[in-house]
Amino acid sequence: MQYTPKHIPEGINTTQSHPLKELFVLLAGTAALIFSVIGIALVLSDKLVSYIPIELENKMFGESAAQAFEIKNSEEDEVLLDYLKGLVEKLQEGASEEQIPFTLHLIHSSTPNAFAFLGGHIGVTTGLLQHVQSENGLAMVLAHELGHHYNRDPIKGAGRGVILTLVFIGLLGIGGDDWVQSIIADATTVGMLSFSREQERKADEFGKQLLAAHYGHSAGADEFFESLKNQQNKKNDIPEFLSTHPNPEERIKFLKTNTPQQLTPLPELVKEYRINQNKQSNLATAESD
Amino acid sequence: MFELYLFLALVALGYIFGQWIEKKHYKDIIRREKETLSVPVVSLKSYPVMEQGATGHLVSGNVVISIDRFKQLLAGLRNFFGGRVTSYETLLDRARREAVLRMKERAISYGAKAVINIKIETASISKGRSNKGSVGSVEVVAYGTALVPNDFLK
Repeated sequence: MQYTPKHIPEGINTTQSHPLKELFVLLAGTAALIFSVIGIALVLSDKLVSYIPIELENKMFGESAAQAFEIKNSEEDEVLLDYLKGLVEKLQEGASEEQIPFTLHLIHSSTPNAFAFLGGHIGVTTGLLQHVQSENGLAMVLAHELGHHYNRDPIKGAGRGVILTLVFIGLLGIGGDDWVQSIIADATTVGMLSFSREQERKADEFGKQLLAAHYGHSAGADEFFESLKNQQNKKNDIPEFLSTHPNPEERIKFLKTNTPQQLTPLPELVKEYRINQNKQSNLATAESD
Repeated sequence: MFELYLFLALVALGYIFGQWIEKKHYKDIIRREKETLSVPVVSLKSYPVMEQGATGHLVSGNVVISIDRFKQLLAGLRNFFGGRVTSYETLLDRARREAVLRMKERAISYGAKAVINIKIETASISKGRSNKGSVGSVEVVAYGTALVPNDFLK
């Protein structure tokens, strides 16, 4: 037997791959897997949560939000609320789907805003009343918020919030550091309260539909947003509403009608309410001086 | 959160030092293999040198190499997805060659002309107590019969 000493070449029992590249590939694969699982869970949650009937949603969450809004309504507040409720009910008749129960709330704040959230709640601030000139404009805002409820946007947001919270609990364990928990809590709340662009667009469409059904046209739908834009241009500060509802130009374009139409004026009680509000806020500023 | 930072720090440490040590070790192994090329190491049970008369000595070489956190992380991800765990391949390669080299060097110190009937065995130390903080290590033992010709010392 002949033995010829020879050095065996490298790389037979090992793979020539750079470890950092391998780490990157594996981590990218893991991240892709996690994100796709989360994505699927969110889509499923949206679909499944829509099957919860509105009556059940209102029963579950109707009380809690009302308690959060424990505001003492004065008599003129009640009168205004009655009018608004009547307006919304009339607008609802133009909806193609079955009508839904809702609860209106009046929030005493000079910041113009309108909300729709879990339990069939629709809230408008007194500040919003200062930014509408006709009943059409007011009706658009109310119909838009109603549209969110028809599309089940609040409960979809809640479902997503639950999924994301579960994911974070799973990843970080219950009781991570305090600051991490507060970040997660904030993110989930924001996720629950804000609606996606698509959802806002659908609500706009719904509102326009209801306006057309009730008034025969949808003129005046862009009133509120135009008013906010003017305020922004005049005062050079962004109204809070615009910071949470981006791209008002697109919405104004969508909601505008080119042919001028007869707009229904605001009823006297609304105008009186506005004057009283202004008087009270002037008094308040005078007292604080 | 602290545990995450600690983990990342250990992984980075493992990568930097682990790669550096591995390179050094490979250089050392290749040099010694070249030096000991003249003595064959076989798993045959007999060899021509025996015909001239030789004494057999049991020789063995063993080595324990530890796994660093970086390799562990790569292996963990691989265990999930499947495929070759390349981070452990170099570990095993180094350990095997080192063990065989140590056995050879022992044999050469006896004056052997060849080492026959060699067997290589691998063990994983600390497999029993797999608690969270510990990191495993791999042990390789290579043993065989060193053939020293009878006229060596004469």
